[in-house]
Amino acid sequence: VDDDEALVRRARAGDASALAGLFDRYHTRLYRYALARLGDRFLAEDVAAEVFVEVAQRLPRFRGQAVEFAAWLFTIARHDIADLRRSGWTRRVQPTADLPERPAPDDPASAAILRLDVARLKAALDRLTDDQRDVVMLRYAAGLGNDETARVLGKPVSAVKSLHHRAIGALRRAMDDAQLPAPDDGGVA
Amino acid sequence: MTAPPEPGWAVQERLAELWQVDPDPDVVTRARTATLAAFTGRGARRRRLRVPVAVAACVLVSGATGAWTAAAASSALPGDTAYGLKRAAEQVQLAVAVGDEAEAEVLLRLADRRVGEAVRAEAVGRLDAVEEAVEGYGDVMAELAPREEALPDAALRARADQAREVHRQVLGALVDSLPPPARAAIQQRLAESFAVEAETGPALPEGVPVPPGRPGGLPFSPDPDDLDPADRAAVDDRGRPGPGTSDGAGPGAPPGSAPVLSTVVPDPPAPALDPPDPAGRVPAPAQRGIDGPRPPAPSTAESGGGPP
Repeated sequence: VDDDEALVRRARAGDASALAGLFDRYHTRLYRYALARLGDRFLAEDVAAEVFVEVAQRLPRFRGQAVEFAAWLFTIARHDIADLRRSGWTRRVQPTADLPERPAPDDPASAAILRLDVARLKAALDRLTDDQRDVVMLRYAAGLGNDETARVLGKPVSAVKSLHHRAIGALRRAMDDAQLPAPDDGGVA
Repeated sequence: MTAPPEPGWAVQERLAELWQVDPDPDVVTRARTATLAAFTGRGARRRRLRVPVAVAACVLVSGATGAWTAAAASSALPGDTAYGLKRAAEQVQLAVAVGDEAEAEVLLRLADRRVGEAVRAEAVGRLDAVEEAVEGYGDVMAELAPREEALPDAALRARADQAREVHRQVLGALVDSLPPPARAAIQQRLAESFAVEAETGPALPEGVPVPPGRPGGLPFSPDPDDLDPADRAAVDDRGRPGPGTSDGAGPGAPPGSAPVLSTVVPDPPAPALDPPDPAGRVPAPAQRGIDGPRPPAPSTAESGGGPP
């Protein structure tokens, strides 16, 4: 199985099967990232598809290192999503609205707990800073590592690690506080 | 189970599971095909070679002006800057469809988009965009008509029949809701659109003049999954009447409003995608008035790459 570097090299040389390999490798991750950012699976499908069309057109002129392909791909997606949000069509969508759930367990009590957990996590994600939420979604929805996330965000790796650490801490505190009787502010900065 | 290695472990585990949702396989297939077509610059047929070039030109221009997004284009209405890119991307889909059936399927989706655009444009008061959407609707009809006649697939024809009735109602109510000056122009566009259909088509929407020599009708089959996301948003904004709604207008729609595309609204998300909705929107119950033959909504896979 070719790695990204080989696929990108072949694709830049005009090999469509290599681009197909990159599509197969990244499309679902791109969709998940778009879903996390937009909270709408139909919009996410469109974004993922259209970003890849854009990539297909621009790949021959891609001048980055092959190992930077993932960062380049998600940078395009991030910009496209930002433009889409600015366009107003997602103005009603909160940062993490419509989080997908895992299939509900058969046990009604477990299902209720799961639903509650997702709701709490959603509320906690909404209260992160934009940078923290970006890092979380690139790490966990897109499946990027610290290096790739840093490239997408244009930040040093150390800053990404710090944002990640703070985000996880804030989420943990918010989740803990949400179990209190009156979680007014959750204690999240 | 062993104790979490660090305080945030449980949160990270939850995050790792949270977005493990896969896209609709049909959507993936279409996206993959469009990607490769854009890459190779080749359509299925020589006569459509211009299409990928048009897309490339749009992308180049947009890139030069600051990372213009195809995503924004998907929500564009006629008259918007991005609308040309949207239409070019649609032509790529059409270019890679091989055979009358495949082309008809694409055209059916595009027809549905045009109807959705018309509804959305009317909702925001952009009557010029309504007219252009209806004109585009007619263009799709003109392309579809010869293919529909050759369709061997009875199920596809049945869907088209069901769609005709829905679009007849939607466009008829749309015409009725327009102010008189715009109404005449839209009626004319609709009449021209319907005139290209086969002579045995269903009735025209009320208020639309019947072209000489034919009863008129809408030979389209909608594909809810391909309804423009922005059009779905417009539909959501206007409510979702149930199958038995008498006038089709949404619960929040003013009297005389066009009926929403209730039967063109996609299925509610599969259970795994059916989250609690803080905005108060309640996923619509199954409203399958026009697309009964369609397969059930795809289930979401749980597998996939884990978090880093």
